[in-house]
Amino acid sequence: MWLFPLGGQRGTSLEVEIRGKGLQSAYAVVAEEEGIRTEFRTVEEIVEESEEGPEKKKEKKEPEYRVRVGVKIDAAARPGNHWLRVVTPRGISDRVQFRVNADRVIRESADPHDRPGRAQAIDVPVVVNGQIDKAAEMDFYQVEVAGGQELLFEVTRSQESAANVFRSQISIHAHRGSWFDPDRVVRLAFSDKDRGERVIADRDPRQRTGTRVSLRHRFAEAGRYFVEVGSLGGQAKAGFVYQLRVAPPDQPSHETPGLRDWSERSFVRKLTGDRLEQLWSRGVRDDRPALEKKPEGGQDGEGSKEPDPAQLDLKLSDPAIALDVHSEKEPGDRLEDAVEIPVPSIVEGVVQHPGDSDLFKFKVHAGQKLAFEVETPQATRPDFNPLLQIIDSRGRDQFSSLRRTEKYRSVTAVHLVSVDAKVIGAFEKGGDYYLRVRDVTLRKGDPGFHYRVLVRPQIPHVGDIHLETRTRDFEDGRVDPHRVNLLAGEAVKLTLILEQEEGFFLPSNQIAVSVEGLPAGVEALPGASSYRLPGGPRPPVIKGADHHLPKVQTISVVLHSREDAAPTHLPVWITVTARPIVGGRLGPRLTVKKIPLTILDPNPARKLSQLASRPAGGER
Amino acid sequence: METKSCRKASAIRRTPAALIAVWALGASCLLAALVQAAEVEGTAQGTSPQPSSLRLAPSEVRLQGADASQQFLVMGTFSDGLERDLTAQAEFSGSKSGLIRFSAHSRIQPLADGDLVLTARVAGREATASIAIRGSQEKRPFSFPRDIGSLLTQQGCNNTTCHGAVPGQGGFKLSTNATYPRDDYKWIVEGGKFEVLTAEMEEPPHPRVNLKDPEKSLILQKATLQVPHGGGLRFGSDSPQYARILQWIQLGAPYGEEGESENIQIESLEVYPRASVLDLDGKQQILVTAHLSDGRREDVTRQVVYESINRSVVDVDEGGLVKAHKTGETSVLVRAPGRAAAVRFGVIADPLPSYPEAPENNFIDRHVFAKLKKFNIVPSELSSDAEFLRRVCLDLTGTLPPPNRVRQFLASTDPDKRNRIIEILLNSPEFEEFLFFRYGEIFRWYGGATQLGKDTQLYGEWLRQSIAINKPYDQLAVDRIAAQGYDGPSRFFYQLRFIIPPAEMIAEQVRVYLARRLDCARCHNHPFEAWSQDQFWGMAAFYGRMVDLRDSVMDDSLLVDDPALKDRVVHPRTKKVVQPRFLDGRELPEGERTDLRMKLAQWIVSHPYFAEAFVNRVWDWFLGKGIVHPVDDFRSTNPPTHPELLKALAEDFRVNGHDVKHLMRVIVQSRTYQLSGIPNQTNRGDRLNFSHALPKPLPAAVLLDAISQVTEVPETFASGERGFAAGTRAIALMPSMPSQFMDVFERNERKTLPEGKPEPALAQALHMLTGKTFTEKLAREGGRVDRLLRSEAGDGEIVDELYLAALSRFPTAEERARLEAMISERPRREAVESLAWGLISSRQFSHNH
Repeated sequence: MWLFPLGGQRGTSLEVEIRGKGLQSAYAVVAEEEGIRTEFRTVEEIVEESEEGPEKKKEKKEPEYRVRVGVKIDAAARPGNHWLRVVTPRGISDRVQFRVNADRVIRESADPHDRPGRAQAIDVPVVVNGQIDKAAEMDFYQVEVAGGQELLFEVTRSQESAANVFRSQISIHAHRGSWFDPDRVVRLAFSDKDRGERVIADRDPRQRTGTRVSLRHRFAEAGRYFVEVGSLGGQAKAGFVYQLRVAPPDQPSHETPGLRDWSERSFVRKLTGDRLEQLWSRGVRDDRPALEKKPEGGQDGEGSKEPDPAQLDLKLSDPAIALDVHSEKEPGDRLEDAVEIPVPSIVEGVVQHPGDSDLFKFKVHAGQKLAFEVETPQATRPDFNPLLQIIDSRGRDQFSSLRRTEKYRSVTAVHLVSVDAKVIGAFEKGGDYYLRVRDVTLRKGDPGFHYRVLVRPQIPHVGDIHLETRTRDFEDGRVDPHRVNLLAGEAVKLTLILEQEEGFFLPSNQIAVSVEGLPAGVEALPGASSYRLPGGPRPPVIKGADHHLPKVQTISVVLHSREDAAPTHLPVWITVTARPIVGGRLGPRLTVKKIPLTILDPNPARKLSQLASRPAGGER
Repeated sequence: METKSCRKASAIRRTPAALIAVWALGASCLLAALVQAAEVEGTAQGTSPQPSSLRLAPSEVRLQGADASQQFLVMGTFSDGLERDLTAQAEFSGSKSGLIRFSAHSRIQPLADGDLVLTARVAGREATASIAIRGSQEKRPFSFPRDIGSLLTQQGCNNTTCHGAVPGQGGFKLSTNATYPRDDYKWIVEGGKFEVLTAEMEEPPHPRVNLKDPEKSLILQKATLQVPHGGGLRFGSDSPQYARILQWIQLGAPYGEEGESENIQIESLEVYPRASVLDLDGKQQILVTAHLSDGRREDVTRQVVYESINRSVVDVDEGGLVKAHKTGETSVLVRAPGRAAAVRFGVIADPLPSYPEAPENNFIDRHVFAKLKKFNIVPSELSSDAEFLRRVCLDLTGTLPPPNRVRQFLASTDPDKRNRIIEILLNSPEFEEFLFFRYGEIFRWYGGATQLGKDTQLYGEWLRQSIAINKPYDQLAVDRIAAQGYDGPSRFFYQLRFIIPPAEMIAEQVRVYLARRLDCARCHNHPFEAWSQDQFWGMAAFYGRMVDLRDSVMDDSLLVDDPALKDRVVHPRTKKVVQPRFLDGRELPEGERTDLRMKLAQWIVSHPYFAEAFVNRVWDWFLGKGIVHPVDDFRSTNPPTHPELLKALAEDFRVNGHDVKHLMRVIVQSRTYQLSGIPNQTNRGDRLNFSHALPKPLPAAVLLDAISQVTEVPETFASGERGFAAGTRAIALMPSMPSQFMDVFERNERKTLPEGKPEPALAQALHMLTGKTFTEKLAREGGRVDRLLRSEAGDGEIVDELYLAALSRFPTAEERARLEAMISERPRREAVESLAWGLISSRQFSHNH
């Protein structure tokens, strides 16, 4: 399912066309977030002419439908990615991306603009909604620039087209001419690099790759230049939709992310000053006075040389403690040059050039457990892959953020698995230790390779929580965490995959799950689970897994609808929450996800007849 | 004068006959031009040259032991500058009597210790050599490697087509050329056979010697055909070889010398002369000296195997005496256990009475012309402007010059116009595009079944950007050999999602950057070269730490080297972990193994082979044949035709910072490159010495682009959901894009390094007749033919335009007249389309000449 145009400017209205399968008899389109209002208009089957005639075509393929919907974007709508869903008698659809822009938005010309000589002229700043749906198609736009002017070109493809292997690319051309061809244009710059980390959010393949390609270019000479938007290998098909934004680099797009899931190990999560508070908010802070917890016969009395690690961790984990920020000092690649830092603190630096490494010195006590988290605020993976190495005062490796498999003698074996954004470890002996930060390769380094590392005590907490449910067979059959279409009288299962971090996984600790906002006639019940992770090769045996991986448990909840539950016309939004319990003390509610739920009449014919008597349209 | 072939041109039709007619037309033009070329007298009229000096080779000899011997050569330098072998005419005498004896005409053996001077006399001239004799009464102890191993090598028992093959032959295995005598000894005396992947024996060992009844030993019975032997009769039971082996078995089949001497091996072979020019029916004795690992030198002239590459040019007997038969150039291979060498021979015609001096543009001409003079070959004339322009445009940019530019260039009277156009081309976007195509061939930029599209793109973009900044070739190589992370050069190491195994990788890298083929040393020592299996795996070990980081968070693999991986590469013969070792045998010290591939890259680009390999490749691009050919098969048995030129080019490339543009500029500025393709009587048969331009078939992609250019109908490349915009040049195309034309014309798919150049095929001729590239483009509305026909251009102008577009020259007056007549006699559109078809189907068009 995809839509075109991909977005619009806030404070404007436009008509959007949503295409996809299983949309017959659609009667409403809903937005997930405030700021966007929809007006359902029409739905029709798309009949493509073919050499064999329309009837033959229909026999061969599942039909596709076109839903036209008016979209009104509030002036106060949040610029960035939003999501629309289509409601049909068979329930609520997958979500489809719709973008809201702060900049002026235009649509690509209907006239051919597939070569420099026919390029569509655009004024900067602007966002162009475009589409590449024919093999070998490429769109050319023409910009006039002043000498020395710098522009930022960004192509944002839709999440859906990214999942369909639309790999967009931008080129900038100038008319230069050559001895052979006076009309020759010459490519000045090219980029197909995705901006942003490639992440698997919710294990949804549509989220697997970054969706924005950007290119910043300074034009030495004033004149007319051509911007080409194309795709890898000249591949194109219906649904390859994009937005091209051209603007001065210092002009912000004002985009902000919507509600984001917790991300334990992303390199682009923000390690802000309240990080400790955030972590504690996913666990249960022990507020009892320290004396109550002092173990019997403890060693940390007046005469003791070493404080009790538990006491120390408690003190350090006080969220009131300010996180000082320390910067690297060049050259910082020798132990004696290392910058001394307290624990906890944040260190910042840049891997300036290939082979550049920075060292930071910190003190620990015997038995102390620390966590090291790294963020890449600018350049990130796969270009910049910061490696954290913990070494002792004699330069010996203790542990690192490199994850390895056990030794396996084969030329095709994978010995290194990954470089992680977080590593934890316990220090058997107290004393001085060092944190070394460098790129995992020996070849990469750049002034844009900025890093932030949080050095902190370990905080037991609930990490990432993945929610999955399976749609029924008569729908698209994909794993979709974002919706539940429930037939009256039947049940579906929600499965939560819970990651428990930094010592949370203890017999005395639990995680409770609840579902809130259920409509009448639907209840949430504990469910049995033989859930397995999605297919693929078996994970390798990890060496030193304790430094890298959380403990994982799954919990299933069954949503059961009574037979007499009233079918929903528009979806109901339910909230799945998880709540940590430590030693009998309840922690805060963690919102796992808000998802739409519909209750469906088991008899579609009856449903369809009911619909005929209702007025079309739906807003949220 | 009207020639038969020119008359045929008037009957051009799109039929095979018309195709032949166009080819003939091209040939007739060459012939016509040949008439204009200066004729050179090639027959000898002068007197026989006389020796002006004499020398004795070797000039210093040390004979050690009673079994030592030394052969001498007497070489005379003659007034024509050549050296000739006068050994047969020489008389020898020693300064002291009783110290040596002559076992043959020019071979001595020691009788007693002492020093003496050996004198050779020919035609009143003398030459001397000093001889030191030590240990003349000491018989050399028996040594299995020396006494039995070398015998097996001489008899061919251990070559790669016999028992020296990887699995052996008929259940009996020997190391190639007796490289591993300990293994050979074991396999002969104890039995058993080599297992490639396991140390376990599949069957019980079966000894080849019978100590109780030596004459029943299988090794003797097989070789003498007393029992069936697939290798046939190797020697008779009355031969010295039989006697030597029998005696060895009778003595209990000992291994012989142990300790240090056991490891004494031939480190290199020195041949004298390294190259020689012979008169017709001339003779030359080859002298072969082995440099042993203990520092000694030994005359092995009679213990090696000789083979002439081209026996019609020279022949060689088993003693190393070479005889010339006809003019030409070839090599004689010399093989000893584990080592090989070659001697280059040129056989020249009688000298010219007055050799014309050719102007030299740069050092290339100095080297090329000096050799031509030596061989009595006169270089062709300088190419015409039209010939030069088409050639240099195609060679530097893969693009035909447009008609208006041809007119402009031909009309220009600027004496420096050739250099000016060279600079324009070197700095054109078309140059970058074509160099990308060239690099794509050798660095294997490809797509399709074995490479992900995004990896292909990333790799290609790195190449493009490297070319755009004229990145020095050594830096390009370092980037690619030592690539890490997620970037362009690192993508080369992946096939789909897997890293290419070290052994496959190193063979390719050595072939690309050092132009040596190590492939066979993967399984066994190279049969003819110094490359051993140990060397191969030592080099492979540099790639042994490559791993990819591919985790659940990231789609794109990161290529890194893991220092913790120290046992990845295992020698298939010894089954032991191999340490990284350079091709020269030097093991990388333990303390320097942090970044193996960077060490390897630095070693490769600093090695003399590196620059030589690349300049030779570029030379082949421009001259149509490498100084070493094939270009990626340097070996002692395939020596360069112009070793000094190769060195000079490589040195010039190095001192100019491995600047590829500079290298190309130097080559195309040379007169050698700019020589005409029209031969004269002295160089007609020459294919080795760059005495005239050789026609080079256009690569499939260049040919397709040229047709699109001439017809002004761009090619469309599309397949399913994929495609490239009209106007995309074939040379810039991702190679996986389907194209029937390029398949028929044998494009390089780049899945492996190419083994040779495409050869003409019947399918190509058929495609010319019926393929849409040759037919539809000509009739396309808006194409050049259509445009010309719709214009007010007269028939003569149309003929001119098509000739300029396709052949970059005006038609001759005769051609124009005939073709105008042909057009006037037939429907105009059909006639002009036929003419255009004839031109793009001609050999003149499909070749760069």
